Amino acid sequence: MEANFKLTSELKGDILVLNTFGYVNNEGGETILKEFEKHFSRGIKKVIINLEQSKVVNSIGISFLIEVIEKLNDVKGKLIFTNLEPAIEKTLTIMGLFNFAGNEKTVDSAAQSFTS
Amino acid sequence: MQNILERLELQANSFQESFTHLSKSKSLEQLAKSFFQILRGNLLVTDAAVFFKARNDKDWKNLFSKNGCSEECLHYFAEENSFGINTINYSNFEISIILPVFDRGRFGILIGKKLDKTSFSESDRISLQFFLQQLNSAYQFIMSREKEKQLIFSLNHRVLQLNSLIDTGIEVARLREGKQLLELALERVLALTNASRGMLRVKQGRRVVEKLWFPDAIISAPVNNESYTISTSFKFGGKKYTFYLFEKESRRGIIEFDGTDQLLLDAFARQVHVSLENHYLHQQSLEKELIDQEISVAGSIQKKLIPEELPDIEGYELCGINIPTKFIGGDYYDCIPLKDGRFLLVMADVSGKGVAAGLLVSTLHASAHAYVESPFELESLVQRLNEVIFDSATVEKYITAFFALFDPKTGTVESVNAGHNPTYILRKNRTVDELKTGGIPLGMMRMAFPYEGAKTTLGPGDSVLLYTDGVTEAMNAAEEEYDDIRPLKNFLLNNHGVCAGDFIEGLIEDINDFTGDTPQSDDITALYFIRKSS
Repeated sequence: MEANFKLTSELKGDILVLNTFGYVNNEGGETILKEFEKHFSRGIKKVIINLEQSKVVNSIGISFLIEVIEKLNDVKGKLIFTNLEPAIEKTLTIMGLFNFAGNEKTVDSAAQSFTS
Repeated sequence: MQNILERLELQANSFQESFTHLSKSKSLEQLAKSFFQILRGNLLVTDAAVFFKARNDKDWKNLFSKNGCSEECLHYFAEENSFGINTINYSNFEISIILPVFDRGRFGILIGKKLDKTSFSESDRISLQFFLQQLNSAYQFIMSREKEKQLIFSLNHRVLQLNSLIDTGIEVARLREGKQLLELALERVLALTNASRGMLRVKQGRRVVEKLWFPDAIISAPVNNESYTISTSFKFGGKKYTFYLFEKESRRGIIEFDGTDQLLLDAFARQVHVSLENHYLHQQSLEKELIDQEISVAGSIQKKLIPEELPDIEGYELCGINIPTKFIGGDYYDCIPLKDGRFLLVMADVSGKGVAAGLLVSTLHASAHAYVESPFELESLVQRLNEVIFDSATVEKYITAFFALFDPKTGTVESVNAGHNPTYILRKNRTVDELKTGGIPLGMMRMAFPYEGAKTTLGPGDSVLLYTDGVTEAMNAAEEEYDDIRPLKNFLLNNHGVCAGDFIEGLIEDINDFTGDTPQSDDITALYFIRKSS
């Protein structure tokens, strides 16, 4: 069976960029958290999650995203979401994620906001 | 004394700091580690191991162990559910503790020897009890905080579900393309119920006409467990739409859907159903609007078939009227001038109204006008018109008609009545003749024998009334017909000598007076002409 969710990651200096593809559910959330933890253990504190290729997120996926935010907040790091579909943006807003994480239109503008 | 007070103050501060330290823990592992740090700082212990058992049916979990601890040490906690501090001699450990907590869980703790190799004093044991009490309180605090987080998350999720239900209702109402609408609804309900996959199947009879999956990638994946499935269906437009959701996700794995999930799925399906209905009704309304426009145009064209003005015939007065009930009426009258100075008078009524009736009227009009271009006998003309209408009409459609070939110079009137109401001739001497001779209505059957004609002459002061059954059968609120209560012949006799225009106007007023507010049920058409007295 083909996986429902795919993830790519890249390091832009000290910023970790995670690009998601597909349904951010239990499987998707877990994949994001694992990839994040791999880099977090090496000292990465600035993270961008680009949800451009994901149009559906469920609350289990969100619980993993919250875990990423909590871990970063403990070390005074920061997470920024980018390229959010209006429905996902509303979902994350209602779930309160933007009280602790940022929201930018593009990966570039998110990267810039880290440096400014 | 001062010394004791200072020591007590120091001790109190130490207890306060230790609780703050413990309660900052974000996990049980961190709590256990913090607890060891406190013991080491206050009691100078060299080693500790902390285990936790959530419930009786769960296994012990090692939360912290400084120098490692094999599973054989767990026997110190076996069969023990109540609080206890025991002295042991196991490896590097000197004390074993069972600490039950508020939610049926319990800690199992081993404490190593002191750094200075002295035994634990009574004072140390009292302090230890304080720290254990703090561990218990910190555990409660952490669990409460965790529950509070879960509650906030759950409340936010409920808000999200309601909000999405409203938003999706609005969005699906906007979408016109059926597949897009169904995909959107499937995605939203899937996300809000935490289903791992979803499917929408559309069936027409036994045939599956559409199947949508989300996520797309699991099209070929089998559904592992039917008991972890919920579904809902509705029927619309001869199709059955069924939404299926499979395998609700949780952080602990796949769980069963609950009542709220079924409610949400039903609500989303209802929204899709309503939206499909609304789109259908909207489409119908647009199509009806278009048809109404076309009917209106057809009605305007048909009105032109009826002469706006009747010919001015020397020695005669003519007046006619047609009041259709629909845009396109089924009544028709005409007064066609012929090359030899005569006129062909036509009064016709198609069975039914609307577009089909209008088309037959057009056919009759065009055929009559075409045939009178050449010399003809009236009976033959009606025979030919019968054939044309028979070929043009469906089985249930026919035309009753009265034809009169009228010579104004001599006043002769040749007539054929094709199944129509009798035409009345009001003589100057106040007698009324009826022109009934003819045959069956046009288009009813292809006859093998000719129509029969009649002939009469109009003298000065005689008048003729042609009409359709919309006049005689005009109905009042009591469902009585005009001709039954106010015979048309009487109106004719009572209005002898009245000019043609006033006669028609008076007739319509009398019909309106009779019917009152009852809506007109049939076209009303009449033609009246008088041979003036010389």
